Amino acid sequence: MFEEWTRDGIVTLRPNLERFDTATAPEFKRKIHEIADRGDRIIVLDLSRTEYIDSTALGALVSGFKAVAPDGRLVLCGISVAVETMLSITRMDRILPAFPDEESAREALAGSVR
Amino acid sequence: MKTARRAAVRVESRAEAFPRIHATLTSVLPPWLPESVRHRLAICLGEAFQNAVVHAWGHEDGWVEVRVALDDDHVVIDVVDGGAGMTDADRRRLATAELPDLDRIPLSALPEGGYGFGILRSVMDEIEYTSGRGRNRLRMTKRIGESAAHTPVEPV
Repeated sequence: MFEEWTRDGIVTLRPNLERFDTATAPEFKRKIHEIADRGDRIIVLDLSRTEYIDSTALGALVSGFKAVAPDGRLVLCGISVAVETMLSITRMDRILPAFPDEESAREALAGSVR
Repeated sequence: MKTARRAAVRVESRAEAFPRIHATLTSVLPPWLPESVRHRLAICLGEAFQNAVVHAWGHEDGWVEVRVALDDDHVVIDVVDGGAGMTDADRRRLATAELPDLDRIPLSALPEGGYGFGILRSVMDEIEYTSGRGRNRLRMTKRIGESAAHTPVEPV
């Protein structure tokens, strides 16, 4: 369900989920907490394979944000217009910045790595 | 309301049926409607549908009917199910829910769920929930008037 890799102290997590919703949000939440709990708190969430998220998945993203806070970062990349719209409606785009692709997200996070 | 277009579909109460109800919504929306509004309507339809699947039917086999009607000024989306009706507490939440104000709530206290009704109330202009005779209906209305005034919708 997830692909994950670490490079230069930054974890990229990519859900292989076209729909990120009530059915899959609990597993995502478990996964991102597992990453944060082991001390990896600079995370790029690559949503390039995800077309749609619902409000339950949004709650899971908030949970991920809180799991890495306050010293870590969770950013998104490759989001669809539908995902962007969900973040915009709920104003969560203010706490979950999005970048066009993984590389630009990593560049933005490079200064956060200790 | 003078209806210019309408469409309806009945699907099984499973998340996998969403593309079919989404297609029903899309078939009614006028071509000039901005993408941003289309996505907002689709998100609300998804939330209402999910609510019927998860809460009304409790993931059990059932049906959900979606009816979409369009006139010059409004899109009206009805999501109807035959499952359990909303509790009084849910109805109150539907009538009052707000999305968190990030300027006022400490980020550490942000809720990790319960955004659905706030999303509906944030996007839609009117929301009405009725229940009776074994059917529940969530009616969501969105005004699209100003644009429609300049681009008449072809009657069907």
